[in-house]
Amino acid sequence: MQLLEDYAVNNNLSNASGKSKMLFSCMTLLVCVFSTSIIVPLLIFVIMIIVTVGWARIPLKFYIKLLLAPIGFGLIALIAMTFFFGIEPWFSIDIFGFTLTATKDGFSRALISTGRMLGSVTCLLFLALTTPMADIFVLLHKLHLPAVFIELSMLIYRNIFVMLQEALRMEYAQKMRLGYSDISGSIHALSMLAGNLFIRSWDSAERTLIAMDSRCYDGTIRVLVEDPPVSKTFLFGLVGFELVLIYLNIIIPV
Amino acid sequence: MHIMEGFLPPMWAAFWFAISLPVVVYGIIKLNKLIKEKPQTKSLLAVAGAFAFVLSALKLPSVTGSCSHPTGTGLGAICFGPAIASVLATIVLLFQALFLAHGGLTTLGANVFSMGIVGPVVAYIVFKTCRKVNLGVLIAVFFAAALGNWATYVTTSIQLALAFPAIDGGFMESFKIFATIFAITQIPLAIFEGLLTALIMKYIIQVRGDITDQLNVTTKAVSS
Repeated sequence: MQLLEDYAVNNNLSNASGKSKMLFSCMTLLVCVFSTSIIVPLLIFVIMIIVTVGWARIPLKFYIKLLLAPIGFGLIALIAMTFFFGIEPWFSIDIFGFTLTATKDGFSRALISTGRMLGSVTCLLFLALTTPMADIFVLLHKLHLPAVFIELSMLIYRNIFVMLQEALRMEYAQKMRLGYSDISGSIHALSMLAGNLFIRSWDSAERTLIAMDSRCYDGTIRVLVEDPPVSKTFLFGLVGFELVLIYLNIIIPV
Repeated sequence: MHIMEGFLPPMWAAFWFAISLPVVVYGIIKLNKLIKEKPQTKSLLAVAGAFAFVLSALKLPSVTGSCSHPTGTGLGAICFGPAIASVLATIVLLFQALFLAHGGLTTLGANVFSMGIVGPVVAYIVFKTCRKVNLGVLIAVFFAAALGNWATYVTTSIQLALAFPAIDGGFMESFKIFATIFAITQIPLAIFEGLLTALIMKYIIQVRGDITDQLNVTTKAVSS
């Protein structure tokens, strides 16, 4: 089980300013979602891959595996929209007696939304692969989200890693005993795992709570926040970069 | 059923954020009240959230060739009610986007609406109705989880159809296409998830019946 967070805490950029990374990925994401031509998202796609793999040194093989799902989804959307979402006929094919007509306008519409999707996914991957969750909690705090929401997120964050390890251990043990050998066995084994996981985590949560209570837990977890400001050079460079993308989007015809 | 990052046009992404936000805010208000009354529930809620995430991170053995993930929102809704389940789902969806690259930031609003609001509400209503007509707990859990999953999938199809209406036939035509594509995997998956959730519940009741009593799951339905 490989979580993106494992890379986020250990890559070439994990010590860089969290705020800068978030600004970079979120601004680019917005530009990508609002773009109207196919060129800008594809440009973002390439740039983000270069930055994530080349600069942050995320293994290329792992990165490509992550991209397979969105690419597959994109292909299905592309085919579906080309055949069903336009009126201007392009070419037609016969499958089992049905005539399917591809449409030009459907294809161009599909191309833009698929491109936007791919560009945005690489922006998200940049954020997910380079920025540790602790930095994101700081941002959520800065955005004045309700304290209970942030605190619950922190507790869930901690519990995820505790439970994941336990779940993996149980899964290995089940596999050793032919737990997932067929479908009905799989349902049985998985539900047993999940049920046990719930009970054990419930127990451990109760114990943690007692431990916290005996240390004067009053409902808030206070964290020391280190938050260096974003450098001016970076900010200017970033705004320039986004403006170039927006300019490209304007001059390239749809 | 996560909608991929960036797939929705900006207008629709913003629209679903606007729809989901009040519900989540309402959930947070209820959550604050619950924690004030029973402070011990906070860590238990954290367990429920982490549980939903871990369930979704474990790959389900594929049934129809596609690999899917149980959402676990049904269980959350049955245990804590739909308002609080929506807050949990929001946090879990954020973690899914950042840890697994499922869903995304711009589509968070739409995903929260389908998986964190419609799914839990349907699951909760189905569960309560089944209990009212004296069906067993496990059967009620099965129907709640399966129908909740199914409602989520219909909602996602509606969201996609609204964002990408077909030029001839408009929304309905487009909805039919998306719904048919998803139905191939979602109809068996919903049944599968129902079975799974019911079996999970069975183990929990067997081993720690006091937990489910505490959450008013196993107790007889009382008209509120």
